[in-house]
Amino acid sequence: MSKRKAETVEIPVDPSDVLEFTNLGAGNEVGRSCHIIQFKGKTVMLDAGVHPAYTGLAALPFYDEFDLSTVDVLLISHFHLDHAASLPYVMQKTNFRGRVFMTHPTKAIYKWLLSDFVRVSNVGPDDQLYEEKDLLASYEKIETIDYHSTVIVDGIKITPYHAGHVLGAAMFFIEIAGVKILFTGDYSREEDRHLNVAEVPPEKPDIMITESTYGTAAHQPREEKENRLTHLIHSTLRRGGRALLPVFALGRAQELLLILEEYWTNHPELHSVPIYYASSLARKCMAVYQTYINMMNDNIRRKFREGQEKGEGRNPFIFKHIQSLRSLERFEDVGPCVMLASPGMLQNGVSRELLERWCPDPRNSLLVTGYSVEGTMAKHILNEPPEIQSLSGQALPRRMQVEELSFAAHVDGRQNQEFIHAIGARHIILVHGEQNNMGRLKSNLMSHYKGNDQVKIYNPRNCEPLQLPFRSDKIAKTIGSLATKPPANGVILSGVLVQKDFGMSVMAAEDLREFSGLVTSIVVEKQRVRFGAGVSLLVFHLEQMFGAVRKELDEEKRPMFKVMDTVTIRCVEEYELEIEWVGNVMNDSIADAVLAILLGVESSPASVKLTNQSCSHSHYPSHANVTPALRLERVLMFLEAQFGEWLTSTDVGCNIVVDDHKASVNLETLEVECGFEPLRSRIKAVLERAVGTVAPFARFEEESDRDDEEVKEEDEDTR
Amino acid sequence: MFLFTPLANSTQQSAQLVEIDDVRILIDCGWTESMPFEQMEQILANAPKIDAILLSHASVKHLGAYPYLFSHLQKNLATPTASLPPVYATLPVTAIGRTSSHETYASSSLSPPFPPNVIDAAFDHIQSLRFSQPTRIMGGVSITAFNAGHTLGGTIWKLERGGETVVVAGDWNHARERVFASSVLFNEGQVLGELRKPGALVLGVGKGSNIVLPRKRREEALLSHITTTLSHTPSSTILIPLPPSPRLLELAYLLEQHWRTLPAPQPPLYLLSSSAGKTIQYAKSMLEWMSEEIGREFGAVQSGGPFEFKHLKVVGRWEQCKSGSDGKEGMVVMVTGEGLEGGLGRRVFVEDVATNPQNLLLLTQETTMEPDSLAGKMWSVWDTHAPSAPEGVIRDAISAGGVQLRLKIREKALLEGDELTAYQEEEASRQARLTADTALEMRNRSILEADLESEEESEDDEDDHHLTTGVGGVKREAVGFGSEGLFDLYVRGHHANASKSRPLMFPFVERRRRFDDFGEVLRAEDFAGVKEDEQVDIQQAVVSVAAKGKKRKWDEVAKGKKKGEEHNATGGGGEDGLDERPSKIVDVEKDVVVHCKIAFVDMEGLRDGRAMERILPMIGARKLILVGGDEADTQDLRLSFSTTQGITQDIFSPEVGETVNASMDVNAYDLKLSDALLKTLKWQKLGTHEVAHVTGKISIPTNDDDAPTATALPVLEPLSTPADFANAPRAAPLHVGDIKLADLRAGLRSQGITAEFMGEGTLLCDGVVAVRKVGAGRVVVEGGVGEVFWRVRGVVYGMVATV
Repeated sequence: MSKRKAETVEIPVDPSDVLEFTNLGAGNEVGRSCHIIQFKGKTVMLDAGVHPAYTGLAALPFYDEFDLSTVDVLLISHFHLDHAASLPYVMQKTNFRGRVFMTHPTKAIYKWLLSDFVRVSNVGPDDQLYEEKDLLASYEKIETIDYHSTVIVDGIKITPYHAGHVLGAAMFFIEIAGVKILFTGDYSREEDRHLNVAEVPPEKPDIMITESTYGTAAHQPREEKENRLTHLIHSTLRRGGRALLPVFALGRAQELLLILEEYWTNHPELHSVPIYYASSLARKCMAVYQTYINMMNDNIRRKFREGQEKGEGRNPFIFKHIQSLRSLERFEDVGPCVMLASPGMLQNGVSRELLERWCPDPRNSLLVTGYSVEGTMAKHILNEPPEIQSLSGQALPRRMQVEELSFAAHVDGRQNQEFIHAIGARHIILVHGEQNNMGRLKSNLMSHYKGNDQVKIYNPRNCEPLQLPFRSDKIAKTIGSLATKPPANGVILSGVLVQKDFGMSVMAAEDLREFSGLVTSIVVEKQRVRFGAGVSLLVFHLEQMFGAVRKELDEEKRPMFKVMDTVTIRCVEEYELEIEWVGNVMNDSIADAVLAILLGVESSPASVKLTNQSCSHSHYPSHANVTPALRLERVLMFLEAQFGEWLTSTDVGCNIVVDDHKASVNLETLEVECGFEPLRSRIKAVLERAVGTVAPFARFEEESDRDDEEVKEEDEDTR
Repeated sequence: MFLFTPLANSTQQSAQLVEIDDVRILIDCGWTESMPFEQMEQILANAPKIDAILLSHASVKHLGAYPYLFSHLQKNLATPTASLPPVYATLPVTAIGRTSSHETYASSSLSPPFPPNVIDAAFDHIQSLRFSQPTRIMGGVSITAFNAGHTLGGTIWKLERGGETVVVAGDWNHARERVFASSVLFNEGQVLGELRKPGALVLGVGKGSNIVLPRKRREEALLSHITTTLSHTPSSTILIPLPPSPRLLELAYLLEQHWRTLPAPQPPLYLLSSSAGKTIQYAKSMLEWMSEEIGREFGAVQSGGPFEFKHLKVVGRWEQCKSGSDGKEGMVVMVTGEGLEGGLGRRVFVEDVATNPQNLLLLTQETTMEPDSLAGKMWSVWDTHAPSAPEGVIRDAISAGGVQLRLKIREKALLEGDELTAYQEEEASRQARLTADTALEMRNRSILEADLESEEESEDDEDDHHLTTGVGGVKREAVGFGSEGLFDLYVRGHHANASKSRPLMFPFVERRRRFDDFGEVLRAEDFAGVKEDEQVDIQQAVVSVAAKGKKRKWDEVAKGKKKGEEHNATGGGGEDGLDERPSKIVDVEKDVVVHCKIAFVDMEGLRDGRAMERILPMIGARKLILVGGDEADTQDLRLSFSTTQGITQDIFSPEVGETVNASMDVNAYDLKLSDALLKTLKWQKLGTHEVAHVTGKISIPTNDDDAPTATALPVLEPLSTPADFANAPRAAPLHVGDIKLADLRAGLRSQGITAEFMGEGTLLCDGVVAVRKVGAGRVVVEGGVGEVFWRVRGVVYGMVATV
């Protein structure tokens, strides 16, 4: 977790167990959605939007606050500008190198929508975030992901679920090292004519990152809304007026078209009244709607299938009563009609032009179905002013009827809370909502979870990292030859731990190739050393150091010595030795020790003495080939040094009496009997060290190789 | 435990039974067009024990018998409330499987022993999946579909339980095609991680180790056959039989794309099929299942899509093709039914194509054609006579040169005498029964849907001459004016799909009456009888009428057209004469002399031997089961695998009905690593893996009573006492990772050590240390004592992880 800032490491848990969540945008605000999740060295980025209220670089999320090159995966929840519009910038103008995923419809619409965005964002060329070619280059690199399909990227498991909202909108279920996160994006829970509502994933996430656009506000029920809409339109037409519906080109507009198509179908008397939609973007994207029928809800899929089975090739998005209007020039304004026109807030363009044309006639009506931002004509006209100002500066009388109906495809407060309860995550992070709305929702949730300290609710600000500790058990799977016996208490397991994408397994080194696909190598090392002394001196020194040395003859009948069954020493030429061993940490240190001895033999005073005079007694206590009796004596020596006069020898060992406590030591079994635990463990510790110290590194026959290691380890300990 | 039993084992039919512990899964339920249903015993015998069914491709080979099996299961439900086993398939397999099944059964020479609405019920029962969507079915078994290529939504199944995984890859395509993406089994040179190292891999044999030329070459050959034929003799007809599966999309798309490059006027291009139109319509809404190129094309164009065909025309009747060309112009006709056994293709071939030596029969499917079928015979004529070509070249076309065939041709004959009376009686009783059934069914239907139905009704154009009958199921019925007026009680063809609920009302649809100055407007169509192109639909919906004691029902007494039956039952008649009266279809033996040319280009889109040899080592399955091929090919493949490194030699090739046990005997248990132990680990990174040496002591957690707890995992603790250290096994002197001398050289150079290659596999470093590679995974570092040695060794160690 090198990316983490130093000052934040104060939590008393292992830093690798901390999940960090950062808003680069949409923290206590609506727009420029962009969130970062970091956990176990993996980084997931969610959405890359722009802020609709700003232009140019100011509209971007705070990308400068984060090293985008560390991002592994970027997931785009849906095609709306506040969730996807800065993606070309991220992919083409920053050091971002991760993979980008979105659903098929999102990708198809993304291209049209953003090329429209590039065209209309009327900022100067210096302030332009990216150009059409950047958009196309980014489009090529985007990968698609299907609903319910699980994709695994470097161990990050990603599954998109239906989110409602608009076609292609997805909630992402992300799993990193066992921690599950649900990112809702924008979502809706009310069934409409074509979209699936947001699903509750089969698994329960630990963290839920949810939108809170509407805070605690409540929506009107759908039937009421639709009835009111159709009623308003019908009465407008009945009195000979025109109905203008300013809409955003994609999303709700398609649902409105479906509602109108259905209403027209049911009301043959209206068949003579045309319905238009005047948006080239909507026209281009209609093919996307016609294509991705299978990602919509059962209702529309059934209609589609019935159309297919009748052999008519009929598609619910091929409308009978609705026409697309390419431009206003072609529009014959000769009587009642229904017009859906973009932009949705009447800032300019077709919808504004028609508004100005139609507003003086009291028979006409304006139906605002979307969200209107402060400062736009849509917001202004909702106050029903007697006059409005045209784009050319004229004052126009407003006599047309103005109505507002909210068809937003977001959850309202109640639905959001119900969904949050249904998900049941322990950590709830609120994003994508105005500060006040979010605060109200948070306090509502807090009071709901009162007394349940398991559930925590957060609403972090932009760029303020939120840290959530996640302690999880590290489970490794033992496979292969290591697992032939079921696990038993006290069994010692030695093997290789392999970790890939957070999955761990333990296996014997020999099984590596089969179970992990890893290639294993053996490094054989050979060194040649000048060595002038004789073989006997060599053996003497080696035995002094290592205890027993195995003496053999090689294929060419030359003498060969094997130290601790690891390092082989051959006399390859006169005055030249070759030492050979198979490299690993322990063998290397043995080899180094051997080498040190070989290099020291010629200058060692012991060698000089040995070769100069020969006498029957040994001047140096031999460390090699000690008898058991001698070793016993030496062990006793250690104990005496420790316990002095309290020690009395017995047949099998000794007794030690300290104050009132009596202990008996059996040197054959190396067991200590004592009623007083501190004394017993003290004697035991001394005894074990003593035994280790007096034993040579290598022995033959009666003792197993296992002990060598004990001795070696012990030796290191005592040093 | 994993048991595997093939229930069919040929290139024409696929059906396998997989048992994972006590869960029995049927994978595929194939049929061949000429196979009598009685011969499906293998599948039926296992039917009651099946827990789930998976269908992998929308072709007759893989799901042809599924409606039959479904009807069998439905009939034999132990209790009415018992549920059928769940069936899983991808979305395209479900949608296109339905249309192709309708066509297959309608055109088959065998009459299916179930009513056609079973087909719809069977496909409504399928639960649609998407690729890579892990789904738990039962008993802890989870299934996942992966893209197999070959057809739209074609599936490689991964079955998992506990640690045991089985991958079933029957038909798949390693290569990308125009419409279909390549299988994830081999995509961009990689095997998808999830499919690697399965316990067992079930592999389709197909044509064994045969090698297929690159797709581009085969496409060129196919197009050049067409171009040369049409340029030599512009009035030739080229007939291309295709299976009624999504494979036809590939050919249709290829030819359409080629036609767009041709200068106008292009020769007419037809797709003669009763179901292909629907298949193409469905394909338009399934672009996300296709190759990236298709997606790109969709993204690039503003209107229409890859399947808005400009040149290709889908027609339902042969006459429509002929009328377009005046008989003079040449044309290319693709026809569904790869065997030319039933349906439209046989008639076209026999009547119009075979006799003219200028015409060309272009075959593209070898393995799914039955050898005894008409196309199969034509193929063997080609195979025996076509000159052998050098390697890498496709064998040329030949002229059939007057091969004499005696063929059964189906013709329609009127019912007469006893047959007619018997039929009428049968029909009357059936009608009564159906009416009763319908009344019952309708009681269960919700009122809500009434709106929907009437909406659809009013959506219809005014001049729409037929009525939607309230219970007409998916098909509209044409009702003659003279029958029972507008009160249509005719309720056949409904299907028993509970989800498709219908209004709780009498099936009456009120038609708006229109009046003009002369009174009520009459519609000429009401008197015209059945419109021509509906006959196809109706034909599909035909229900067999049993003629007792006869074997081949269809052969002996088929049945009248739907409309005919209806009028028969109600005593009505019309102007249509023949069509109005009950008729039967009889086989007429005809001698046909084939003079046309025959050519074959393999466009099956399947893996070949070379691909398997290359991909199998990458998959690294522990066990291999070969199915779906004849014995010679299977043996051939086994042989070629035995010489390929990296392929397991644990290969089974079971016969039909033979069960093999391919259980994976790997021991495994889970272990919790204690925090103390984790702190001692020294992780080393190696590509995407991280490795560490671990030595620890297992301790089994105990509860308060000192008894081992059942739920808690054993914990691995670090060694603490000297005795533990003493007993610990010494680490094996193995390093993880591969040492490549070229990489080593680069590494050494960056350390300022000169390194030169000296002969084979030896690297001389600074002139004093030699690094040699001896055999696989064994490296020798040799040199004198000195700094260079340690530094070289350091670089070598740096390339691997020490464990």
